[in-house]
Amino acid sequence: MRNLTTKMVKRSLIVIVAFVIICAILLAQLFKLQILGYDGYQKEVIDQLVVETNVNPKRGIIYDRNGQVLASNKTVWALYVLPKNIEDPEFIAEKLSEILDIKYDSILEKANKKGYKYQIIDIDVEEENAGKIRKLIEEYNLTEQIQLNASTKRYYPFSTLSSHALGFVNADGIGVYGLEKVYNNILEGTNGKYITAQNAQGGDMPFQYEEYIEDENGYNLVTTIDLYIQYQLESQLKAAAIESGAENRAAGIVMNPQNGEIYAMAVYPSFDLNQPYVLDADSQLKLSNYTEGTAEYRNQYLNLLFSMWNNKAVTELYEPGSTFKLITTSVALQEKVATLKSSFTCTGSLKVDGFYRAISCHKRTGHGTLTFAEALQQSCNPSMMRLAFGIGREKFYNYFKRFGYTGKTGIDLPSESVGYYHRYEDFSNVSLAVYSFGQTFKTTAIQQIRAISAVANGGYLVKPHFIKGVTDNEGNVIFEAKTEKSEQIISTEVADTISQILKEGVDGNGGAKNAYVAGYSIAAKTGTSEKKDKYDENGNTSYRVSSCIAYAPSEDAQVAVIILVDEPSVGSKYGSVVAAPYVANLLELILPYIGIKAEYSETDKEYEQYQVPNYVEKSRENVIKELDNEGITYEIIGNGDTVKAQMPKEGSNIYKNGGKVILYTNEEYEHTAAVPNVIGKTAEEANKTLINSGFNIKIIGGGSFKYGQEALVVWQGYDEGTYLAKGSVITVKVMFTDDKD
Amino acid sequence: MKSTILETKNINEKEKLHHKSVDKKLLLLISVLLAFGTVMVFSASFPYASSHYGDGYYYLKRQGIFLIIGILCMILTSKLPIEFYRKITPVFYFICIALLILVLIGGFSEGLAKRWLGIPGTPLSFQPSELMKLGIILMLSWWIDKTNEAKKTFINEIVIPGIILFGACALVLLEKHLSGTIILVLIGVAILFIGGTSIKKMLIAYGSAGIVGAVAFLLTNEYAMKRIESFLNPNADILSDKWQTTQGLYAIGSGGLWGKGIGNSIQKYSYVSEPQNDFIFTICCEELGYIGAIVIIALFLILVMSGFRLAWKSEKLFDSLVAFGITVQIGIQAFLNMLVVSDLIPNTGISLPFFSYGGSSLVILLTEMGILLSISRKARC
Repeated sequence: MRNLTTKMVKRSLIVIVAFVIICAILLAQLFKLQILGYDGYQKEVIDQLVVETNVNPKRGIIYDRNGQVLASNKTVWALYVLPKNIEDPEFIAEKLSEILDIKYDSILEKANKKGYKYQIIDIDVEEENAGKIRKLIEEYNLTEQIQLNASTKRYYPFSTLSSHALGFVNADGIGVYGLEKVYNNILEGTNGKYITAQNAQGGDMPFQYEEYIEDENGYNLVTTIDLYIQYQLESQLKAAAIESGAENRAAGIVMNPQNGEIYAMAVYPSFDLNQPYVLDADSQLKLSNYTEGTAEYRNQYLNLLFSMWNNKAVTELYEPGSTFKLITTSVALQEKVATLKSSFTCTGSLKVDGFYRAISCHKRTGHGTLTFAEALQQSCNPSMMRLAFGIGREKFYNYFKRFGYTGKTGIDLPSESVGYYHRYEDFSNVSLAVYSFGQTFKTTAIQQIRAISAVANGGYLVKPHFIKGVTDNEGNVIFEAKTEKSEQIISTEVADTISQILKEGVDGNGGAKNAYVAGYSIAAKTGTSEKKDKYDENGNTSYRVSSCIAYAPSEDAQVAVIILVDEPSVGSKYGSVVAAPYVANLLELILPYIGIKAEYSETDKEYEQYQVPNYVEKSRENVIKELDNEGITYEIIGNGDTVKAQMPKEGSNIYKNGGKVILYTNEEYEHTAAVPNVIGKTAEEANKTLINSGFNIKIIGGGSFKYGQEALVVWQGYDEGTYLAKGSVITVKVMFTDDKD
Repeated sequence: MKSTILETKNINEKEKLHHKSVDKKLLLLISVLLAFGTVMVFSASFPYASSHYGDGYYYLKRQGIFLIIGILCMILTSKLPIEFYRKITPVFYFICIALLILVLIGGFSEGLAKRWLGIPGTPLSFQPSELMKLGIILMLSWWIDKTNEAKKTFINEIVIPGIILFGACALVLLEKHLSGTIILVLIGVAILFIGGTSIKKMLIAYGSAGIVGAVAFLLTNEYAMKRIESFLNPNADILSDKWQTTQGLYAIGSGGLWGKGIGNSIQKYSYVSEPQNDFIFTICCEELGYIGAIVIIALFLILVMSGFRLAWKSEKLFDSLVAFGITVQIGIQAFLNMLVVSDLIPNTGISLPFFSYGGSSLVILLTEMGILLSISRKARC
């Protein structure tokens, strides 16, 4: 190193040292990053690399008990525009607004958002419109500008049917009401996942990094609902609510009292499950008082929406009134406080210790002397109070509990309410008195039908339920609901006695005689309770809940029904008028449907029905033979050899006795006649009048019209003077119009 | 330093030998770095090349061509005697200055800055600023050697070297080539420092000039300000400037101790953008782990030490200073690059010698290696 001075060598060593120091710093930093920070960085790399796509499973289908689909899924399309690629926004907006029910301006606004890759136009395009859009895309080559992505949507084929029990799903497909909510876990299945690696541009990586977590479709729910019964319940409920002017909705349940299977549950008005956010007509009317866009409007809309969704049959409380008397009398017999031979005297009211005035009977003039059976049939309050006092406070309260009035029924629906009742400490002598006829405590319709079912089935408490079974995709049964009866509350003998008393009341002159159905033994009880906590504008408690409970056949009940109408406002408010006729109509339809044959008594024979088959295109000779065999009266018009037309049409019911079939053999010309007026006549008179005019009669409205003069026609299906083909069936509604409970 | 009769005899014998052949250890080291670097360019560039050119070998092929050109240059420059370089130094320096001026007038821009100059008649282009690094090394060495025996006047010691160095720096700075300027300054100052220039005088004279220059540059240059800001504020938007640094750190960190294995980087799939360029070290760390990083750092450190050893053993001051200069340049570039990608200093855009893809810089690097080897022929190793 002759050429280098010591200074230069020293300085070069300093430079070397500087490099060594830098290396040391680097190694320390890399140690920190690669060794200490490894886990964190590795995670970051994987996180940004891996893209997870959810694969949505198919939500399970909800079936009725016969395999009819109540809730399923359908494909809908999400419609996007890609503003970046759109060449002519006006054109796109115009074409799309022509196909869809979306305003031109709103589409144009989205199509003009050049800064965005996607703009969603509609997430819910039906297949029909999607097809049109697909055609549009094809025709104008818009694949880069408009996109349709398939998704599934919950679909309820019967839209409004059983809406409150079925419930619906939210935008994320999660059940939020009804069975959809309760069985969400079973129905929803497991999300699948598709995991892939992508580079920073979203492109594929060269190596295969794919993980597919299979989605599992939801299980199907088989319910105890029977579509037919549900439909008929809803029809009758609607008629009951409309005709009585129900101001606070109406609810009804049809249940198998032997095992708690619910055949039907309905609330009127119902709503469209496919459009759960659209208010029913009544609610819309209420909302129309508010100005759209205001906060009040919005609040009111939400309130109305929540009330509409609310399942009245399980969440709202009402005072059961006289329908509870069934329980009081059952307990009285069970505890041997009274026998069938006991008699009661009703003077119209009864003074009870601890209450400032005498508690009155609904019949203010008094029932006079009554047998045990009459006390129940005539729904006498003082008699019930006497029975309750005989039973005693403690025992009565215990039975009250055992009949299920103090707890939930455990029905598989969300938000079930517990009844309102007094604590035992507060259960006074006066409470005992008024509880005996179903006042001052509250229950739900489901609690009430369960309690009644215990009497109907021979004394056992059942658990009401909708679930019948669960099946998988291939239809394999995963789960089958077992029906369990709990302890016996009252003896079968007592239960049968009460059923018999009720049946006799319906057949005879009991308060529930409007629930009569020819050919069937119906046990029924009506109730009308005062809403003691709601006052009208005059400060009176004039609001009522009118209800009717029934089961049939009374000796071996296969079906139990409750219909309750909240705040009837038109005409009579008694359950016997507001609810009982509809219960009868319903039972008349569903009893034959569930396979119970009508057995007509001698008096009933007159009303035995005959379902008219098809005669058209059959030979005259054969038809005559057939009709003669059945013992049906007929009239043949014309002299052809083949039946060309018939009246009534195939499937109509006529009465065997008095009904007439008209057969046309020459031409298809139908002889017509003017419909006479039958309103105000008894059933018998109306029958005669109509048959004489050449028509058939169909009597509805229950009512043991055969008993005579009290039941009158209140409505006829065609107005007086209408010209109809001879042989047509004219429906008339017959009802007892005396106010009874 | 110490010299004995025995040593003198040996020197005479060895001189004859070493006049003929280059330092084999140094050549081996260079070869290892070249091979290593080429493999890493291939690995790192494969996905980028596939997606941008539809050919995963695109960068490997191009790098291969430049490697051959570079090796030819290296053989040529290693054959030429060091005396030759000393003679052409002033001319070479002024050619570099001329090219820098030419680039400012007629160079074509890539990115934000005018840096490149096309070679007429070829599709090739190069950065005169790369060439100027060698120009500065040679010119300062030449000047110090020339004035070593003379009286150390302020003009000789400070002013002239200042003009040589900062004249070139100013031209590079006008190209808005911040990193190039910094490296030039560092190389120049290192040579002057080792060459024995008074630190005090340098600090006062160059320091004040440097500060004025730097402040003026930063204030007039948004691009540089942004880079500084991005470094000072690491939580800034990941999608803008900080993206590259962050993704680089992900690459380094996820390499762990042993790495993912060569070819198995995930970050090179467009997460680290243009992974074959300045950020190639992050891919090395990801694929080869901490162990691989240690090996690369060690190779550079050994190269620096070999270069310094060569400088110490060289007989002439010019030879020593050139050896120091070239070695310091490699060391500065390599370690600055690693400091940048491991987030210890701001991102300035310095490539990693032997590893980063780039034709002209590779050719110039190998030319410099040739000069180093040429010096080794005469050194008393």
